[in-house]
Amino acid sequence: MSVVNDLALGFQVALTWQAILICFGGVLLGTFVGVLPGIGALAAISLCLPLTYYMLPVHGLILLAGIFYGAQYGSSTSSILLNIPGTPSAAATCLDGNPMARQGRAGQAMFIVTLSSYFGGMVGIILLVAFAVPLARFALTFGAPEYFAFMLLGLVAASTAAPGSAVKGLAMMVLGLVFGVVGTDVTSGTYRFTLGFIELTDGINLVAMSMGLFGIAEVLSNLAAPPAAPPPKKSYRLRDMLPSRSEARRSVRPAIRGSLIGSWIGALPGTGPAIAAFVAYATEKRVSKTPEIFGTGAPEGIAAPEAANNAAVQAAFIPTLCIGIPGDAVMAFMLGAMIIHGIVPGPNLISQQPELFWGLVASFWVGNLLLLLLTLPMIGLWVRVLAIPRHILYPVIIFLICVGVFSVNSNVFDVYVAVAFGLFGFILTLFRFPVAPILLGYILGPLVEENFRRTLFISDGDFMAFVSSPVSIICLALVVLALVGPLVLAIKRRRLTTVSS
Amino acid sequence: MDGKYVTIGKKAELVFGLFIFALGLICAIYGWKYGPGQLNDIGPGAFPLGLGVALMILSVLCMAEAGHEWPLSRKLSPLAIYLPAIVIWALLIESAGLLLATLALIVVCSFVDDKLSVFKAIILGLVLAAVGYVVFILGFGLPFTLTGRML
Repeated sequence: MSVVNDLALGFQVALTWQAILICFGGVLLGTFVGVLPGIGALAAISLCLPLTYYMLPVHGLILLAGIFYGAQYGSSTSSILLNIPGTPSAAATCLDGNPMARQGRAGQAMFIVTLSSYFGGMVGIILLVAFAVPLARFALTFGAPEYFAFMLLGLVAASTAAPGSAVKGLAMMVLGLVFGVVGTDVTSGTYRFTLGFIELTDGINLVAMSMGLFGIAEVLSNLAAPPAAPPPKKSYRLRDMLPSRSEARRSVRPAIRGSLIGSWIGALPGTGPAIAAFVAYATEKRVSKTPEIFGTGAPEGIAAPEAANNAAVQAAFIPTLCIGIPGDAVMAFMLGAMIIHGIVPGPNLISQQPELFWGLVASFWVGNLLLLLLTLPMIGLWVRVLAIPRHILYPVIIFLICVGVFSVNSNVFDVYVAVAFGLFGFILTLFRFPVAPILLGYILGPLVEENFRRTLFISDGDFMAFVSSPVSIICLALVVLALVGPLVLAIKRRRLTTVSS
Repeated sequence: MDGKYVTIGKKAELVFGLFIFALGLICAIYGWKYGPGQLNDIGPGAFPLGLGVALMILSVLCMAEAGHEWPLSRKLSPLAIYLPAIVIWALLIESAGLLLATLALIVVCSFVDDKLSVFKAIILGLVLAAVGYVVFILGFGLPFTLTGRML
């Protein structure tokens, strides 16, 4: 019964008018940035972080989380209409969503996607509620070696599992760890990599860095790339969007399977909604009696990945909130935001701040319901968002970035830091280096170093301490697997191309 | 201003790889300077030293991958306009205030293509400054003013 009591406590927090309003603002903004290709949830979350300083911590987190899962709902719109995913997690939706649109069934596709997303989100939340307390209890037994191993696993898995080169992902993660070192060393008081700037003694500002890497760099990358095609002009009425009985029936099982797959994958370190969506799509194709229809506009091919990515974003909160270890860059940012608000995520969060934890969980329910109401009747409006001229949108985003970064410390130095990271992030995209592992490394860096030093201090310099418990042994074994796996695959691929050529 | 597309070839990838290598080297040297400490008392330099070495190794592996992927073609002109525009905003915000800083930002940004004329940019700048004043200065009480120290 305690879960019922906990949830009742959560709904007391989440159903206040301020919380509902903030949640609505979050999911609305999330859907907006999700619909727009090129502008991701991270840019919007970092833009809003300074605003949360003026709110209660729980309200701030409700806002930031709302943007994150709201973006997943919106991201499928441009996948279906333009064949360009609004966020990477909606890439799998392009495969069958766009063929459906070309057959004149865009409305039906968006209807199926929205309901699958809602279902997936709900399953993810149920999993979060069910596993939070037992996992937190288990994590209470963790010491420094276990935390170090777990964080290392999160870092390595997230860097190597992302699409593109695993080596480049790892290099960026290490660079992120270096950025995390900048500032005053907590143990010795030594200034590290401050370059003589007094402003850097507290470390690089999280907002300035993420706005540079994910805001300025994304705007620059979009401006630098060849322009995308405009969306097709068509009006969408709810009545015309209802899927046929056969389409609805064919979507139910894929949505259930997708939700279950997404929930498990989302909770693992280093994965995330994009991988969950592709695994769900591949599974659906494998279990289907008619796999040949996939890619030609099959409703199964959109219901499964959309349910999976929405389940994954909710489940991704499990390791972040219960163990204090984020699985991907967005969750790492959420962790950073919590630390700024003086909240220590981890096994003690649920027992020490139950209002915050359960309030946030309850807000996910509210947010998903709001998204359902916001998306279905207003699809026509969201399609029009796609038509906002880029030459107006980008200067507006840049203005918001300037004000947002400056407002954190009322300091123009942070704006220059954002410019530097914007330039660096843009150059990285030119060379196809992933940017997200930098943020993950930056946020986890100080925690990894602290646990590394603490382990060796306690064990009097004995490295065997890192493999003293089953949890750390399993994590470190998985780290080795994550490092060696891509290498073996790359060698195999090269051998295949040599043989075929 | 419509810029040309630049193709990022293997040579550029190698140069960038060297840049990452140099970052790793600097990191390792400074790590050594900060003092790596001893195994039972890790110093402030151990972690940067290890990271620097790892970055150098990974940059070499990245360079080995150079030229494997299809080269990207991108315009570099937005870079030369948007970044200076933000720097101008930062230089003006405290002395000249939100209004002038925002006008300058949007007008400079409009140089990136012909779709946003200077006139339209001024209108957009005025609207943003007005919204910014109401939301950020009056609403959130952020510590900057509309007209700076001039008035």
